[in-house]
Amino acid sequence: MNELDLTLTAEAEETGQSRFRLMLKRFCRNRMAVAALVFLTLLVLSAVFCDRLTPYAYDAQNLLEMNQTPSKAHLLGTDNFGRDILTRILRGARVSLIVSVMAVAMSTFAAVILGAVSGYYGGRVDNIIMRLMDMLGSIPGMLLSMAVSAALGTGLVKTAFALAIASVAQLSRQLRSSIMLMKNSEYIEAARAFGGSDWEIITKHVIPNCMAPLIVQISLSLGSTIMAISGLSFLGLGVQPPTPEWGQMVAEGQSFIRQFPHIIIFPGLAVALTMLAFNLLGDGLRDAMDPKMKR
Amino acid sequence: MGKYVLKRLLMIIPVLIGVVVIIFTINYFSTVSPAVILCGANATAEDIAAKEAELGIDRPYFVQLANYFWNILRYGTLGTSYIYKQPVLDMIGLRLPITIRIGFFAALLSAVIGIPLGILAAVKQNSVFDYISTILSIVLSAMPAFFLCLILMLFFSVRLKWFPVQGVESWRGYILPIVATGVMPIAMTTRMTRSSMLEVIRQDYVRTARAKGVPERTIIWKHTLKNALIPIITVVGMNLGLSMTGSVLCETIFNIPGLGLLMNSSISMRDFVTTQGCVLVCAFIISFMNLLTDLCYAFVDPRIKAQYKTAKKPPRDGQEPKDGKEAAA
Repeated sequence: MNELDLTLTAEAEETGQSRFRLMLKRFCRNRMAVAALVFLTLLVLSAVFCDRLTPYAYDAQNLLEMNQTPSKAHLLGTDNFGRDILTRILRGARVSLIVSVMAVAMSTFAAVILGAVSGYYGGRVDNIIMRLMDMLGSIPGMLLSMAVSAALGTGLVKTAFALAIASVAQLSRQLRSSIMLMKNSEYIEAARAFGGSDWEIITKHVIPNCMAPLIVQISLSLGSTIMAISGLSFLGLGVQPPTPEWGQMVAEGQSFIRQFPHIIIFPGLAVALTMLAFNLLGDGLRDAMDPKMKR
Repeated sequence: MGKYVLKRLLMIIPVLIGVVVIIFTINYFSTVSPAVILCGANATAEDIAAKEAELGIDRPYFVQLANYFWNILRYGTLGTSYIYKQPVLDMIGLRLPITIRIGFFAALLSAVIGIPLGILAAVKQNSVFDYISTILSIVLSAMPAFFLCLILMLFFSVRLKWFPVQGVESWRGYILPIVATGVMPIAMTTRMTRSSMLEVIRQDYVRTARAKGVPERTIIWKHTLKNALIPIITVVGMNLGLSMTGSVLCETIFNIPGLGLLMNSSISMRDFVTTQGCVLVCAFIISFMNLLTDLCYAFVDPRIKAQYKTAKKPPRDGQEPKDGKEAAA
C-alpha cells in the first residue's frame, strides 16, 4: 500500500471510522475546497440545463441590442451580434466541460496503461516508454496540441484528442513514480506468491492503489485542460463558431476591447474561476487524502 | 563532471530526433495540405497536385523524413518556408532573440519576486501575509494567459497609455509581455518556495539549530533555504525553459515578432517545414535548460555532485528533487 493509503488506514484504525468517512470529514473542513465543489456542481448543473435557465438562444442575434452593458434584461450584457453573453457563457460551460472530461479521460486511460506497464515491469520496457515520454514532454504542451489540432481539423473529439496527447507525458510519469514506490510492497509480493498473473496484479492491485494520487491529478488536469481549450479556441484552432466557447468568445470580443470590455471580461473570468475551482478542489482532495502533505 | 555533461548533451540528440519524427508524423497526416492553402480557394486538383510536387510533399513518408534529416546533416538547414519562401533557420534566428529576451526577463521576474515571497510566507506561516500571498498565487496561477494579456493591455495601454498596445519597437513594448509571461511562473515559484521551505523548517536539524541558539536569520538563509533550493531550482529552470520557447498567446495578442507568433502563423497556415524547425528549436531549448537545471543541483547539493562524478543521471521523473536527494544520500 502506498504512503498515502497507509496514513489514512492507520488513522482510520485509530479512530474507528471508515477511510472514506475520514477523508470526507477532512475534505469538509477545508472551506475553500467545499466552495470550489459547490461552484463546480452549480456549473455542471447550469451547463446541463442552460437552455432552460435563460430566455435567449445562444446563437440568436439581435442587432438592435448590440454591445449592451449588463442590465436587468441581459445580466452580463450582449456581444457585438446582440447575443446574450450569460447564455453563451453557460452554453460554453457545457462545451468546455465535455471537451475537458473527454480529454482527461483519454489522457488518463493512456497514462494509466503506460505508467503501469512502465513502472511495474521496469527495465527495457520502462526505458523505451519513458524515452518516448521524454520526447513528447520536450514539446511545449500548447504547441503540441496546436499542431495536432491543426492536423486533425476542428471538432469536439478532435480537440479533446489534441489536448490529451499534450498531457499524456506528464501524467504517465507521475503514475509511474507512484507505481514504482508501491511495486515492492508486501501486498504485491503476496499477490504474486498467490500466483496472480501480471495483468491481474496490475489491474486489481496496482492501479486501484494509485487511485488517490490519480483522483487529485484528474481534478488538477480538468482545470488546466479547460484553460488549454480556451487558449486553442482563442487562436481559432479549437471549438469553432457558432458553438460558443469561452476562449473563442474572448477572441471575438478582442476588437471591441476599447469600447466594450465587458464582452471579454465575463468569459475570461469564467475560465479563470473554473480553473481556480478545479485547483482548489484538487488541493482539497490531496489534503484530505494525505494529511501529511497539508501545509 | 565533464563526462556527465558530455553524456547528457549526447542524450539530447535522440530526444531531438524523436521530436522531429513526432511533429513530422503529425504534419504528414494533416487533413489539410499546405498546397490547398497556397493555391487558394479557386485552385483545381491539378494545381494542387503540381504545388504538392513542387514542395515535395507528395513523396512517401520515409522519403520525406529522410530528406529532412539529410538536409540537416548535410547542409545544416531546416528547409525553406512554404509561405515566406525564406530559410527557416534565418527566420528563427531573427525572431528567437526577441522571444529569449522576453522569456529570460519573465523567468528572472518570477525568481526575484517568487522566491522572497515564498520564503516570507513560509517564515511567517499562518500570518496575514502568508494568507494573502497564498491566495494571490492561487488566483494568479488560474489566470488564462490570453485574458491576462488583454486585461493588462486594456488598463495599461488603452486606458493609461503607459505602454504601446502592440509591437516591441522600444523597451516599453517589452514590459507588458514580460509581466504577462511572468505572472504564472511567479505564482508557481512562490507556492513551490513556500512548501519546500516549510518542509525543511520542520526538520530536526532546524530544531536543533534553534535549540543551540543560532540566530533566526542564519537558520533561514544557511540551514533552511540552502536545503530547500532543489525544488525551487527545478521550478525556476522549468519556467525558464518554457518561457524562452515563447508564449504563443502572448506574442499573438501583443503582435510581437517572436518565435511564438511564427509558430502560430506556421501552424495555422500549414507551413510544415517552419513548424518542424520551430518545434525542434523549442525542444532543444527545453532539453538544454533541463541539463542546466540538473547542473545547478550540483552547485547546491554536494551529494548530487558526488553522484554526477560517477556520471549517473539523477532521477528526474515524478518527485524528482526528493528522489534525487534520497538517491544521493
